Amino acid sequence: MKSCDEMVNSLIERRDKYNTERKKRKNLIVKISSPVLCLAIAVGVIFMFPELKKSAEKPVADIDAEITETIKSKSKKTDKDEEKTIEFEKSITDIKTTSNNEIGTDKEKSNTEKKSSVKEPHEGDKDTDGISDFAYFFWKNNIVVSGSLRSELNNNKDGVIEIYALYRPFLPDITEFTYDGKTLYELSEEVKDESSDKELQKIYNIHVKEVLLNAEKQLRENNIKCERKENTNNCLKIYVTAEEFENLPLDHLSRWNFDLAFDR
Amino acid sequence: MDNGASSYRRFLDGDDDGIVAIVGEYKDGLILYLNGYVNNIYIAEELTEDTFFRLITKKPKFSGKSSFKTWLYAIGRNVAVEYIRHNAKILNTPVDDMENCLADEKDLEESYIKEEQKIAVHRMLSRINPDYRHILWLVYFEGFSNKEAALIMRKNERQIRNLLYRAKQALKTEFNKEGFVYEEL
Repeated sequence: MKSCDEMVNSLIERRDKYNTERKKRKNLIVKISSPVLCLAIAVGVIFMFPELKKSAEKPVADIDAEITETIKSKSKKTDKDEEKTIEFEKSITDIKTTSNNEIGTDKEKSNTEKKSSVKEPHEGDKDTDGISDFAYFFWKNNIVVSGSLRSELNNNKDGVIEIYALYRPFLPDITEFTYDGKTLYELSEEVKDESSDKELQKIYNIHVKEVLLNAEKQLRENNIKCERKENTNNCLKIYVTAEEFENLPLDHLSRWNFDLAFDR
Repeated sequence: MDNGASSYRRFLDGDDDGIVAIVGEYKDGLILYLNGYVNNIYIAEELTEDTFFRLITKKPKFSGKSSFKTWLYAIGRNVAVEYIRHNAKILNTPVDDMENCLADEKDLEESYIKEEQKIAVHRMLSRINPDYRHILWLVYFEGFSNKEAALIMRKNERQIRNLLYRAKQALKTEFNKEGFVYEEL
């Protein structure tokens, strides 16, 4: 049995040990919690300013896809719409296959003309006609090029040409975009009407604006001079040589309709 | 009784002598009281030390609603109950330790209780129900009133009165078995 003094000494020893351990634990908690807190604040700041986050973190290519997703999630797809989309996709695939293999009935050919305004070029034309290089290239990338642009490109192979890139989302990959059962092309037609649904207009405008910004950014990254056309929200003025034009970054511009400045 | 409170106040003000005084004054009684819970004088001693350790580390506030001794014994009881809850399965004392244990317990009770008659009663306490043992210890050996005992044991006064009555009856039965008759009980 411990005497009174022994117990007091033991108590004081235990107390000192306890205090030291508590200090250590406190220090450890501070060491761990302070970086975690800083991280949490940083994350909080980024989430509070989503625009900052977008520009800082997201690659350009993702923004377009994100908008597509947003529009998709807002849209209510019915079975009928899906069927329509599949049909449309099928028809586009048919057109492509037919033109590539140079096989097809007259009916299919007339369908091609109806569905898109792309004039079907032939790979074999490449060598015989100087402009066919471009035409085939653009057709392959779903870009509509007007006849005058082709001749301009052909005539000014070394000079700088001035073209307008007008965003008209109406080629095959629009099947990804649906809002309220409508393709983006149908939407673009609908929003031309001033009496159309305001929310619809808003969604379409936001989408077009984002696409325009991304295209501008991408062009500038490729050292291609461009500027926005005044009083429009879907048109870019691009200054390129014929060679540059051929190497335009097309993953974002594939739904663009190129035209010459003097054509408009 | 107030000495304990003033010693504790002194300790809270930073004077370690305060705790020395408290340990000196209450150690033995608390060990014997807690021994009633754990039936092992060494464990009771550890629990007593833990009780004082809780006082000096957590520094609980003594409000003065009861005497300091009552308050200290209530803390001691809580420590013992916690210990029993956590060590219910390993509470049996090894046979080798038992002899030393009993010898130390005897020494302590002789030094603390002093009166021979009371020592005989205390030894008989180990044979009765633990609740009876606790109440008899608090009232007859430590001199707590029914009210104070109620505070320590977390019961109301009526329960304490009934418990005390049944404890006396149980103790009488045990003495009768041994052939003693204690009228004063």
